[in-house]
Amino acid sequence: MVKKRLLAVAALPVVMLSSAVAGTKKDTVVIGTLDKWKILDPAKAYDVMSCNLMQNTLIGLYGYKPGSTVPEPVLAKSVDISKDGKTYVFHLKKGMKFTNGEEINAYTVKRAWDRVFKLKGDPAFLLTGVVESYKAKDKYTFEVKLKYPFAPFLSVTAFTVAYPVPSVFPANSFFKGDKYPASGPLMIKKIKRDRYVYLTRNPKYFDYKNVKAEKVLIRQYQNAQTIRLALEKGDIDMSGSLTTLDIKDFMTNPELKKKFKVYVAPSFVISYIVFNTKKKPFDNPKVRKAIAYLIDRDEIKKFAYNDILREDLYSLIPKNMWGYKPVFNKKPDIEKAVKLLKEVGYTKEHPLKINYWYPAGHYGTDVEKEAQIIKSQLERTGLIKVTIKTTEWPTYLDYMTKGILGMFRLGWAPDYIDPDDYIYPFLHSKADASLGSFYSNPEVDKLIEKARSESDKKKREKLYAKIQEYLWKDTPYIPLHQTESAIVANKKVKGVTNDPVYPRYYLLHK
Amino acid sequence: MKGLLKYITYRLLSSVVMIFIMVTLVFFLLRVLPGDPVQALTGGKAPPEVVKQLKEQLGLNLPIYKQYFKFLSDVIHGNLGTSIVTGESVKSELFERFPATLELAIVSVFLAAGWGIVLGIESAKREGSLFDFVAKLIALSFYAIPIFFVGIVMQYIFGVKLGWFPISGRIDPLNEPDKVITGLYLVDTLLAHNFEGFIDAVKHIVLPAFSLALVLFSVIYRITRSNMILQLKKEYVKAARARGIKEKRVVYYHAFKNAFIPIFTLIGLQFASLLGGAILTENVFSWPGLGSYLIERIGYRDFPAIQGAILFYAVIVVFISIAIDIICALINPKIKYE
Repeated sequence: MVKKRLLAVAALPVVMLSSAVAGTKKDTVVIGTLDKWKILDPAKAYDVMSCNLMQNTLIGLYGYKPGSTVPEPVLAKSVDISKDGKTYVFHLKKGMKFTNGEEINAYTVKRAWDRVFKLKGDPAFLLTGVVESYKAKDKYTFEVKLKYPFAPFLSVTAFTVAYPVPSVFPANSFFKGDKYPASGPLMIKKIKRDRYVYLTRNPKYFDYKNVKAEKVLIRQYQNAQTIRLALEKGDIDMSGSLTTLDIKDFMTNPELKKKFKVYVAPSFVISYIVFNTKKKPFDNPKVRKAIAYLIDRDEIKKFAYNDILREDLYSLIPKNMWGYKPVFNKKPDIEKAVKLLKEVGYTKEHPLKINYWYPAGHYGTDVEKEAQIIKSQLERTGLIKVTIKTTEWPTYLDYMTKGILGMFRLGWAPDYIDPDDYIYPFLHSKADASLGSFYSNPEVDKLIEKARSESDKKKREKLYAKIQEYLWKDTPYIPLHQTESAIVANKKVKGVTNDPVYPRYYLLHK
Repeated sequence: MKGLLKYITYRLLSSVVMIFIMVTLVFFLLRVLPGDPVQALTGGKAPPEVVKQLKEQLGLNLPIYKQYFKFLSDVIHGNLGTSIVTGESVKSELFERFPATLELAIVSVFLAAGWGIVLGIESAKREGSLFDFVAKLIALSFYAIPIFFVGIVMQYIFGVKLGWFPISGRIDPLNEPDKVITGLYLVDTLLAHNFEGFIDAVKHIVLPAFSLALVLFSVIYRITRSNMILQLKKEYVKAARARGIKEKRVVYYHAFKNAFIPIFTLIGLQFASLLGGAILTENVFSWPGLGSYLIERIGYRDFPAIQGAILFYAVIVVFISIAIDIICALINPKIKYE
C-alpha cells in the first residue's frame, strides 16, 4: 500500500510536466506589459492603457493611420470647416455598427458627447475647454461650434474622449463594466483587471480586411524582471515594458538576437526639467539659463540610459513633429554658465545651493542615475551645490502644485498630436500652474493664442518658432530627451509597428 | 467552557475597539500625509478647475470630520466605499483579490508547516549531530535570504531554464474557470471537472508557494526543534520508551502532541500575516492578491481602497487569532482562558 502511494506521488510530477495545458494557442500573439488599465469609458479614461485598449476596440470621428501623425477621417467621411474656423460639420459614413448591431450615427456621437459634458470625467476638459455647442443636424451630420478657432481640433476628435460609445454606457454614470460592443478592429473577449486582456478580431469592423490579428492576449505583470524571463521562456511573444539594460541585452547578445528583434521608433514622449519661476533662486532667468548651459544630454543618455532610446531634445516640441525648432544649446558651455552665475553673485565660497527633485519609481529606475549625472554636471563649475531629493509620485505632484519644488524632473506624453499640446500646457499663463513652473509672459500668451486659432500650417509654424525662442530666452524649462520606444518581439511575430500614436494590436500576427 | 466563552466575548469586544482605533488612525493619516488622490489619478495633467470638480465628485472637498463620519456610517452598513481609481466597489475588489491571497497562503503555510515540523522533529531527535547542524544551517540560510531573491532564482531555474513551471500568474487565461465558486482555482477547477485547468493552477502555484514556504519554514522549524528537544527530555517520554512503544509513535505522537500548541499558534499567526498579502512574492510572480492591490492603491492615494483593505485585513487577523485560541483550548483542555 505504501509502495503504491509512493509511486503515485512520484508519478504526479511526471503527469504535471508532461500534461499539455490547453492554454494559449499558436494563433495568439501574447504581449507582456507593466501597464494597468483603470476604466474603459472614453468619458473618464485618461491613462495610457485604458486609452490604448479603446483605440483598438472603438473608432472616432477621426483617427490616425499606422505610422501617421496626421488625423484622418474614420467614422467621418469628410468635414466642412467654416472660414472663421469655429464651426465643424462632420459628414458620417453610413452602415457603421457596433458588434451588438447598434448603428453608429450622429445621434450616437451626440449621446457620447452629452456624457462627456455631463459626467465631467478626467479628459473632459479637452472637449469642454474648446467646444461651445454641438448637435446632430440629421442622422449622418454632426455639427460642432467652438468657443474660438482651434486648429488642432481634429486631433482632439481623434482622442478617445470624443469616441462614440454603445448604449450600454449609461447616460448618467461612468461605465463600470469591462466588456462592451466594439466598433474598432478588435473586441474584448475576456478580461481580468490587473491580469490580462484577451482581444479577438471584430468581424463587423468596417475595414475588416486590414485587420491582421486573430487573437491578442495582453498579460499584465508587476515587474520588468518577470517580463524579461517570460519573454525568454516563451510565455509572451513581445513587450514594450523592459528596462533599458534588458533592451540593450536583446540588441547585443548574439543568442538573443537569433530569436528576438528589437523595434525602435521615436515616440512623442519627452523628458524635461522644470523651474518654479516664482521660487528663489529660480526666479532669476540668469540662474535658469546658467543651469541650461551646463546640461550635457549625451552624457546623461550614455550613463543613465545605457546610450540607447534617448534622442537629445532642444525644444519642448518633439523632433519628429512639425513646428520643432532647436533653440537650446547643443553642447554644454561651462564658461557661459560660470559668467552668468558670477554676474548674479555666486562664488566658490558662496555657491548656489539648490535641491533637484525627481519622482521615485515613476519614470523607472534610470531617472535616479540621471539625477546623479545632472548633479555632477552642475557641480563641475564649482559654483553650484546640488542636493538630490526624491519622493513618491502622489507626494511629488502635491509638492509640485503647491509650488514647493524649485527645480524638478517631469515627463510628458501628448493628449493629441499637435505642437499646441507641447506649448500651451507649458507656456500659457492660464495652463501652466498644473506643471509647476508658474511661468507667465503676456507676449507668449498672445503668440500661443494666435497659433491655436490659425489654420494655415506655415503661419502656425512661424508662430511656434517665435514661441520657442522665448522658451530659450526665459528658460522656464530645460528639455532633455525625446524617448524612443522599444518593443522586443519574438521573430515569429509580424506586424509590429511601434507606432508613435498608439500600439496597433490589430496588426499583430504570427 | 464557560471561561472560554467569556474569553471569546472579551476578545471580540476588545477587537472591535482595536479595529476602530486602527481604522481611524489610517483614515486621518492618509489625509494628513502629502499626496492628493485626484492629482495622482490625473497625473498632474488636468487643469485646476477639473481637479476641483473631481474632488467634489469624490467628496474630498468636504471637511475631514464629515468625510470621517460618512466613512464610519458606510462601514457600519457594510459599505467600504468606491475606489477612486476604478470606480468599482472596494468590497467587490477585495473579494475578488482575496481568494488569490488565501490560496497562496494556504498552500505556502501547508508546505512550510510540513517541512518545518518534520525537519524540526528529526533535528530534535538528533540534537547535536551533523544532521542537526546542517538542518539548522539550511533553515537559517533561507531565513536570511530575501524572499524576492528566492523567487527570482526559482523563476529562472525552474521556470526559464528547465521550463517546468510557469513564472507568473495564477492560471493561463484560457483555463480560467468560467464560474467563480470559491475563487480558489485549485478548488473551482475540480468542481467544474476541469482537470487540465486544475493541473494548470497547480503548476502556477508551485513556484510562488515554494518560494514563500522556503522562507517561512525556518521559523516553524526552529520552534518545533526547540519545543521537541524540551519534550524529548521529559520523564513521560522515557517512560513511554521503557514500555516498548515504538520510537516513531513516541516522538510523532506523544511528544509532538505536547509540543504542538506553540507551533500551531505560530503557524496560525504566519497564516494570518500572509492573508494581508505576501507583497514581495506577489510582485515577483505577478500574483494578483491583496498585497499588490494595497501597494498599487497606496501609490494612487486611493483612500477608500486603502482604508477598506486595511479594515478587511484587520478583521481577518482578529478572527484568525481568536480561532487559534479556541482550537488550542479544544486540543488541550488544560489551557484556561480568563
